[in-house]
Parts: sequence; C-alpha cells; structure tokens
Amino acid sequence: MGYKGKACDKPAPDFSSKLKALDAQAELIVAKYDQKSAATLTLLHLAQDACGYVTPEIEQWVARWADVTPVHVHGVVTFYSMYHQAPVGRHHIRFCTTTSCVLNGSEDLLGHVKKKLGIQNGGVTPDGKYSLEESECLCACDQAPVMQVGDDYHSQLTAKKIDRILDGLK
Amino acid sequence: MANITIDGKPYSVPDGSLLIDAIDQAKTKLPRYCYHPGLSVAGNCRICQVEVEKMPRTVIACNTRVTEGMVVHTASAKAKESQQIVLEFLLANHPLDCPVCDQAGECKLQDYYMEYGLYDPKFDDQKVKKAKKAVAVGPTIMLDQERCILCSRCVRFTDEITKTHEFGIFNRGDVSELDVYPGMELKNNYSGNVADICPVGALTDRDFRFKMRVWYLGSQESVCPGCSRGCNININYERSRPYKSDKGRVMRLKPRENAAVNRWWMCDEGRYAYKAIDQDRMTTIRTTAGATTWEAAVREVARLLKAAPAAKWGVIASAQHTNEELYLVRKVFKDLLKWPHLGYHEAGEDGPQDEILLRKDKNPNTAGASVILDLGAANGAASVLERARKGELEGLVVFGRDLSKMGAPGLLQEVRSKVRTIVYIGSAQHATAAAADVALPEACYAEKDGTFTNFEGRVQRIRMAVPPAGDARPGWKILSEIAAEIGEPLVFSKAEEVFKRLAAEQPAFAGMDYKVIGSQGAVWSRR
Ligand code: SF4
Ligand code: SF4
Ligand code: FES
Repeated sequence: MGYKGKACDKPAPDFSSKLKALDAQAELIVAKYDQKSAATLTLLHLAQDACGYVTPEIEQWVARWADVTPVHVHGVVTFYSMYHQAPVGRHHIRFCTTTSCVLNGSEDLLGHVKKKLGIQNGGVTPDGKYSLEESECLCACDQAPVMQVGDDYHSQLTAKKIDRILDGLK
Repeated sequence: MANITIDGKPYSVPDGSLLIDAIDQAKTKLPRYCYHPGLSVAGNCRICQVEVEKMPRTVIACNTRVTEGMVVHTASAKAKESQQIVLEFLLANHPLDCPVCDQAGECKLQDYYMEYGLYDPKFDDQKVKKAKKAVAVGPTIMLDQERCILCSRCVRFTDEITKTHEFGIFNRGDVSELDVYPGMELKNNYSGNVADICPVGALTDRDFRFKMRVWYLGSQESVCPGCSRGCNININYERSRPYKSDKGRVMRLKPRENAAVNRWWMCDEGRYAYKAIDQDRMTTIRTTAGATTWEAAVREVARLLKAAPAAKWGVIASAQHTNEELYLVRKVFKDLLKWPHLGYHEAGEDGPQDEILLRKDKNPNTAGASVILDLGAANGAASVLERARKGELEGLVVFGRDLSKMGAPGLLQEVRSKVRTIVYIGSAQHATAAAADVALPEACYAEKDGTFTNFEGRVQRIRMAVPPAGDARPGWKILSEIAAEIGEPLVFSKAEEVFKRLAAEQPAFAGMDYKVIGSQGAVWSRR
C-alpha cells in the first residue's frame, strides 16, 4: 500500500505572521539553489517545523518562494510521508513496519503501542501528546525493531523499552 | 539527418528527433498514453516500448532520441512482450467497468488490450480503490479516479497550454491519484480538451456523457464558426435521428488537428455552441403572399427585390456566411441590383480574446466578407440601420442577424415601425425573424458545404454533416435561385461550383479549389 496522508478537516489557522517571520530564511535557502524549485522540500520543512503541519496557506507561501505552482507543491506534500497535512501530537511516533522489523517482532510491538495509546495508525491522542504513524523502512535494519519519536531513533525495541520511552516523555 | 531502420525499412530522420516521432512519420503503429505531440514528454506510462538493437532492454520510444544507425523493432517478440506487460500493470488497479463507462468505444485501454494485450491476467490481488468516482471537477468535466492511468496529459495541458494549473497527481505509489488542487475547480475556456486528450475514461465530458454510445456517431469535418480563428473540428452527429427541436442531431464537436490553426485544441465557447444547430431554428417558409414552397417564395422575393428602388432598400449581410454565399450576396445586391446601402460589420460587437485561440471577432468569415463584398470602410451595418431608423428606407434584407441584439435597445421596434418590408433570411428563429414580413429558413453551418476565410486569410472548408432542418436550404442555393429569378443566370448545383466562380473572379482566391483547400485549408495569395 502506498502512503496517503490525511488532510485536516478543521479550518486551518492563520499562519501569516509565522510565515512572514520565515521570509528572511526562505530567501537564504532559495539563494543556495540554481533553480528555485529545488528549494521546495527545504522550504516545506522550514515551514512545517515552525507551524506544525502544512496548510494550503503554507503551500502557497512555498510556491511563491520556489517559483512553482501551489498544485505542484501539493503534489510534493502528499508524496512524502514526512510532511503532515493535519496537526500531529507533541511526540510523533513513526513505527517501522518493513521487513527486518517485522522479522524481529514489530507487529506485536506496534499492537502494544496502539493499545497503550488508544490510537490507530494516523491517530492523535485526545490530549495531543502522542501521534502514531506506521512507516516504511527507517533505515536502521541492523537495530530492528525500530521506531522514531520526534527526531530520535529508538532501536532493539521490546514492550518494556517502549513503555519506558513513552512514559518518560513530558 | 540520421539514418535509422524501423521494422526492417530504412528512414532518414532529422538528428535528435524523438524515436516516437520518427515511428509516426514512418506510419508505423505504436501504442502510447502519456505522449502527446502538443505537450512536453513525460515518459511515465511506459507503453511505447520498442526493441533497439544493441540495447540490453526494450526502451520507450517517446523519450529516446534517434542516433545514426539505430535499428528499431516495434513489433518484435521482445517489444511486444514489453508492451503487453506494461499494459497488464496499467490495468492492475483498473475497475474494468467498460459497460458503464462513457469512454467505451474510444478508449485506448480497450483498443490496446485488443491490439497489444490479449494476455491472461495474472494479478489476483485486491484492487486499490480510489475515492472519486463520477465527481465533477468543474462545469464541463467529470472525474473518475480509479480509471485514471496517471499519464499526466491533463496535468501537462493545464500547466503548459492554459497555464491555469488546476490538475495535479497527489500521494504516492498505488494510491496516487489525479485531482484538482483542493478548493479549485477546472474552470477555464479550454477545459473540454482534457476529455479529448485523456486516453481513458477518467475524464469525460459532462455535456456528452451518456447521451450516446460513440459507435452510433457519424463524423464530418468542419470548421468552428465561433470566431475568426476557425478551429478545425469534427462534427459528431447521430446518424439515424431525424430533426426534432427537443432532441439534437449533433451530439458534440471535437477539435481536429491543424498545426497552422488550432493545433489539437478548441475552446469551450466554440465546443458547446453546437446546441444552436438543433435549437431555436426557423424551419418553415413565411411570406406576405402566403407562399409555402421554395419556388413560390423565391419568385415572390425576387419580384419584391426587383421592384424595389435601389436607394430605398438596405442589406444587413453577415460574416457568418460562407465565401460562396457572400459572393452571391455581392452579385445580387451590389452588382445586379446596385443597392448602395450594404453593411455587415458591427462595431463594438467584439467579445473576449485570449492568447491561445479565441479571437475577439465572433464571426468566422469577416476576412472573406471584407474582400468579397469589398465595401472598404463603409462596411458598417450601423449606418444602414441608422438610415432604417430615420425612416429613409422602405425595405431591409437581413441575413441571419437579430436586430434586437444590435445597436441600442429598442432598435428592432424602431426599425420595424419605419421600414415597410423586412425580409429575413437566416437559420435562427429570433425576434427579427418573428418581426419580418418574409422569412426564409436557411441551413446552418453544419447543414451545408462552403468555405470560411479565417483572420489569417486561410480558406477552410465546412461540410454538410446533417441535412438542413425542416424546409431550410443553404444560403448559396437560396441566393442563386433569387439571382436566376431576377434575371441573372447564376445557377449552381453545388457550393463547389460557386467557389470555382468566386476563385476565377477574386484574385485573393486565385488558384484555389476544394481539392487544393483539402482538409487543412489554403492561404490567400495576398494581392
Ligand atoms: S485523468 Fe486521464 S489524462 Fe489525466 S492523468 Fe489520468 S489518464 Fe491521464
Ligand atoms: S477559438 Fe474560436 S474558432 Fe476556435 S473553438 Fe473557440 S470560438 Fe471556435
Ligand atoms: S507514451 Fe512513451 S512512456 Fe508513455
């Protein structure tokens, strides 16, 4: 199954002042590339890091800087699984579901996470603390099973280890 | 030039040509979905596989450039196997709902399955379903995502031709889907073209959908009368249905390729204007003396015109008329009757114009009218109408036009109250037709042969697709009979003969005949 991100069904907040504050950085990023369009991914990360997820307003902001059309940016946003189109939790868990991890028991562990947090793939806990995403290979097969929480990798997982990691988060 | 071999035959093609173009020029068949000569190369559908000697694997012809000595096989076992495998993948998630698909009969999945497929399907996985089935993406187009093979032709069309950027391909892998940008509609004056170029049933024309299976359609080459561009079209009509005012005979118009005029496209304004062919038509003869046959009507009109004092009658001619008809208008009214008040052009009648095709002059034959009627600057319909309004005219002959849509509001009523006799010759039933004393029903452009001259001086043929509605007759025929009755033997049995005479008399048309004009038109020799 390919990846299909979910768009947010609530009205998007106004990110205009946040984006305005990023304009100077965007200008520096764009200057690094021969073709402005090549900055699309970097600009999206910049905006997502500041705003939490990508809204149509952000797509239009990136389109302006990268000199491409908003529909082109939307194609990019929906193609890559690391851009979110809806808010995620404070701690976003990307749980590997690919071969090496499966061979090392990730299916049971994923079930454990789902049960523990009470959410399914793509879900966010009601308090907004955790969100879960089943992911393709996280490129740490030698450490399987693996999950990523925010920017941190956690490897050789067991149910106990998962509990310790998740419970330790603020 | 590069010397290459295609299926055993030698060809010499320009260096660096795309292999698929060389194959097309060699008139060799090769399947394609994403490739379109009017759009950039995408190379994503992979169906155009050919075998090139000394290359380890088959390659796609649409993204391979020819090189000297290239030996290409389009139908070798290896090429065919690749084409077949690609087709099977393209159909892996396809719903195969041809019985309820409006594209059936002109679908490249059906066609290529029969020509290049014929495999036993090996996929037995659950098909991936996509969300949008029969969802309108705009006023003209219906989207069916699961039928889409993601060839991106429609995306490139809205990126490169209209530059309106409505379409995109979203998500990844087997859940990739074609859609419009969230919140956007496909709403531009060229939207209908995406249904033409979509090779499958993913984008269909909302106006045409389910009106008729395409194999029941007849097709005739013609030219759009919607503006002075004169886009080349095919008129698709129902072959068996008689004229009824509520049910059309003409089902749709499709653009016909002409590199010098409209390339592969046409605008929506022209495309959907076909409805006028079957709607609000004037279909019966009406005269003051109660004539019901053409013979009697022509005799009556001829008598009326012959007896009319030249200075007291005026003519509103039409640049919707063919060159042939305008030639006869000139013969009858200018040369024979010598009426001084003749006009066709209306200032301020212009509509929108764009950078793609659409011209502001909404008449297909203004260029023809200006050369044939040769009125110079005194070509205005307004001055004739002004005379009529002031009561200087006793009679008026109006071709096609509706005075209630010309000039200031109330013009028709004013003219009607001042002018004793109004003769209307036209195809539409409108206020002027109703107000006229004599009304003769004329065939519309889809019901007759003739030529239009576009704004660039290209003379192009229109051809009869359906017979004239009711009692209507082609304008050239009506005019030649009136001329004969007045005493000038301008007798023609075909529009082609009128054109021959016109070409002999008008230097701009010198050397032309219907054969020379052909299906792509011929350009005036400028004087
Ligand atoms: S909708 Fe049609 S033209 Fe557009 S990508 Fe899909 S198959 Fe190609
Ligand atoms: S551009 Fe003009 S001639 Fe072409 S389809 Fe439109 S109206 Fe008809
Ligand atoms: S036509 Fe060549 S890859 Fe699609």
